[in-house]
Amino acid sequence: MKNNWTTLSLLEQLSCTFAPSGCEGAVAELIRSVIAPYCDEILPDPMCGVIARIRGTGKESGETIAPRRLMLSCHMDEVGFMVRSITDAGLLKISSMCGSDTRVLAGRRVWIGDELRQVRGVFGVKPLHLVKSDDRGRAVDMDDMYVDIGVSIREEAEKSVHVGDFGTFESDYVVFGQNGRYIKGKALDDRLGCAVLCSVMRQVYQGDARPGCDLYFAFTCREELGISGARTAAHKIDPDYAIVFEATAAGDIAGTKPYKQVARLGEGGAISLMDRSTIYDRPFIDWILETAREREIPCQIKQYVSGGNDAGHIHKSRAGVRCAAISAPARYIHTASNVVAKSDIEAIEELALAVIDRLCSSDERVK
Amino acid sequence: MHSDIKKLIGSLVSIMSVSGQEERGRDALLSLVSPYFDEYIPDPSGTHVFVKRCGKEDAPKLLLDAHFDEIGMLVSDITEGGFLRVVPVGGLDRRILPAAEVLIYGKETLYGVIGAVPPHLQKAGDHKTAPEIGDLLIDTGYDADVLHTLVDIGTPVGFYEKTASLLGSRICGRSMDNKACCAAAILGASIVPKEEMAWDVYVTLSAREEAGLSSGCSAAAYRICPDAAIVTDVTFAVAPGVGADESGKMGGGPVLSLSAVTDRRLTRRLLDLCEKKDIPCQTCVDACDTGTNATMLSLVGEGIPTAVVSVPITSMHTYNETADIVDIENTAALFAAAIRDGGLYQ
Amino acid sequence: MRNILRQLLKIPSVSGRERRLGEYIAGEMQSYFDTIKTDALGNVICHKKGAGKKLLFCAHMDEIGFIITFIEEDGFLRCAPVGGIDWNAAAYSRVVFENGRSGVLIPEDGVKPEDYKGDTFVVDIGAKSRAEAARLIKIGDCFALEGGLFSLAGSRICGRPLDDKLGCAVLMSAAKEAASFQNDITFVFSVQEEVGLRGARTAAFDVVPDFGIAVDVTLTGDTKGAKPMAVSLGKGAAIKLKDKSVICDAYLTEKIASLARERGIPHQKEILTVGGSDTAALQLAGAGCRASCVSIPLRYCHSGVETADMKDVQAARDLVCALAQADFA
Repeated sequence: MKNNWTTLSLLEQLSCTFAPSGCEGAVAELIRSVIAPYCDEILPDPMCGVIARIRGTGKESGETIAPRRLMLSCHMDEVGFMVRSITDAGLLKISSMCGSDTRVLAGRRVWIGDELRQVRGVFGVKPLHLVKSDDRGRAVDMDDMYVDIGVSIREEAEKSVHVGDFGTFESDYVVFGQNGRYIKGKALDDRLGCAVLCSVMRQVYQGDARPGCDLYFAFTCREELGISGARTAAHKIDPDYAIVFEATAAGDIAGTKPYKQVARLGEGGAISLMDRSTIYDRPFIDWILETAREREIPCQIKQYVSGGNDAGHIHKSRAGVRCAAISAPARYIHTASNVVAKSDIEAIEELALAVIDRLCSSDERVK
Repeated sequence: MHSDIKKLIGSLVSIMSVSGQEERGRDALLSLVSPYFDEYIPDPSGTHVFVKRCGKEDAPKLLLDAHFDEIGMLVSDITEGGFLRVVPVGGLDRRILPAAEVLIYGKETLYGVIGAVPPHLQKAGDHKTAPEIGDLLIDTGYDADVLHTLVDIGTPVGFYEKTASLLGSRICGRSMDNKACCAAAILGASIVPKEEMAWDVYVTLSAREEAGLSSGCSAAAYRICPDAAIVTDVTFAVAPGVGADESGKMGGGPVLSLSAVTDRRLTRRLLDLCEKKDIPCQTCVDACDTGTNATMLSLVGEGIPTAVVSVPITSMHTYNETADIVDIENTAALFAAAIRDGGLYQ
Repeated sequence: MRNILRQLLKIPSVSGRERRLGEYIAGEMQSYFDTIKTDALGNVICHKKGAGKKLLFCAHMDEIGFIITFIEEDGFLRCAPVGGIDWNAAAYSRVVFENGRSGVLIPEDGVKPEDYKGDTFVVDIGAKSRAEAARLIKIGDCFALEGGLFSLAGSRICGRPLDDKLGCAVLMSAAKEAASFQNDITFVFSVQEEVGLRGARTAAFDVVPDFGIAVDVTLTGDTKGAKPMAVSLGKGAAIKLKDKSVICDAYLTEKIASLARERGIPHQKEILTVGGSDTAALQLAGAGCRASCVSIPLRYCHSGVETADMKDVQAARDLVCALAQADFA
């Protein structure tokens, strides 16, 4: 991996990499090669995640003590599928690993395979003409869908695909909108978190001084399944503070009532107060908001209680961890076409650096 | 060999182990299993931990987990006339309860029959719906005042059926889920001579799986801190209404789970072992959840690479679960091969 | 006991916002324990060293409530539930914020009671605009139905949130006596039980007890139209065998029952088919421990008129003290 990447060029590369939950090897390998020059060590992780450490000075001065360990976490996996069986006609029956909304699958191109190689397929459905008129308005049932990889008999299919293989959407990385302000792609949830943390690592490591505390960067697996490698990573790291970098569903689209919009594109990272998995540490949140205000970094509060993320596992780890989450608002999350704003990614990176800078200075302490 | 396994399963089944009651049969279990192991470690979670060491220093640890508990009921009320009301423990199938025979494990073990409404007292259409468990009464044949001295709220109730043989190598009875797998794990660990072992093996016969809690397995694993784990449990066998892509074939060998929550490298290695050692095996896709202890177990501590190896059975969660001895033997053979295989996980 | 309870009811403690209550309890417990600490999540962990077994008693400080998520242009506030809210029981109620400010919780006009859910409710604090409301209440502020306590006939009491400030009061009133025995005693006043048993888990991980005993409320089967359940108000402390989150340890549960029998403490056995308790978290944290629960029967749980019997509360207290000085095999 050349060292001349930017956060966005890295994001493009990460977005196009195949890494559904449970099969994150390719992204893990890419991230390892990207960050190797910018950390003191990469720790082994039985859960196949990537945990990197930048050692701090660990200095304690006077009566105030710098936090010992700060964990910065993002997840590498993306929503995906698994091949359940292969029919005699060489079609693949699929189990979904991205919730139950089959409407975003029908007619889509997908990649099917494993960490090393994939083949292209298409989510086929019965042609509309042949669907009974009563059923035309109905979403297609998962059991009635199949993936066509271009063969007509089982034996042919089995040369390229195995039962238990994984799948993801195929979706190009596209910059669009006014002045190219938006990005569309697959797996931006949460490859943008990965890209941001890689870039943060590089800047911290290349900075003039070592941080005041140990920084752990955790790139975790299986978040989308809810059984999070962040839990085991947090157990290993045993941090004092943790910040999760995520993507959160933005509802800022026409027709949505303001109080259901959750977060808006272009207004900076969304800071969570509460979601289904976590009630975030209020003083820590206030401290982050204050940091953003002082340094004039745009950010917003996530104005709805929904979803959940790795923080749900991290804050309950060991004897408890003070936790916050900073998310990029993302429209059409869990589909092939996540849409995020470039400016939000920049703002989140800037905020991450500011938080590290302030939290690691030895005379700073969160109430 | 067949008759040995049958005997072992029969003995394991006879030890009542309704979820939460796994410690009651400790003495019986120890006399049955201890001879095959170096050490028994009681765990406060109710999980029984048996250790067999390979004798090498700093040997890696392989955890073989089979949940020991079985579905059942707890007495929730003692009514007039000597009947008992119960609540279910685990995923009890209420369609099979009327007229079922049960054992009530009070101060004495009592026999009872779950009542069924006789045809002449039923309303039209009643026979088409399965009764609510809360509406069922167990007939003990005792007067209420005597019953009160023998049974308390919380007394466990289990099914009566003992293990029996069908034609060929098939057996039936209660609690094949999961005593069949307990037997496979015990057997697998016991048949490998120490000098051939690549690991220290910890067999956990774990508590409280059926209640959906996995707490026994996770707690014990946290203490043991293994390098890899294999969870063995039963899975659906192909049968009327159970399709080939959600189950395994009876007699087709152990079923290895392909899932996003388990460790694929470990699973692949086990599949390769089967091929190398000529052990028949099959796979099944459990995309997001294996429905076994593995889901929680893999998250214990810093994480444990975990695979799931299942024995296919029919009529799961009834009192006549049916399994094939050959599958259980082949599962044990796979465990034996894994215990010999130093390259299993790196 | 009533006085302790009254003090606890004065301090709001919606899940995740237990800090003030924790500070109060820590202050009250100061003289009975060797060390008192507050962990990263806010659990108050009081420890008294002892030569005997390590016992952890746990009552949760948090109460169900609501969190402000949005401020409308016209000054109404939007909220989300924190814990298991019964919206029908909460409609048209006076509510109180952490900062003491009052409001009323009102469903949108035209919404039928059967359709009540979080999105159909607003809080009216009297503000006339977003700007005015934002000066008084911040997004993320929490509130709960107004608390309080009054007496019913006999030894019955009514108010909110008795779940689980009754448990906290039981531990606080038992503290002096319980901490005087030979066992190693930890009292945990836990956070975030109502949102998924979160605090007890980290506290138990930290303490690593031999035995974990939750002290919480349970439902009863003696109200009109109740589902069959063999727990009644006034029949004593309930010894939990099982709830939806946990099957209690058989040895510890029998130990509790035998202590109750020996000492003539009124008690009953409890099997709860809905709802969970910190017991599950104690059992599962780290390498786990033998866990059970002493429950206080409570009618109309999670409403504004939770009802209990002080005799049961007293029995629970006596049972905690009996456990604290028990010999364990």
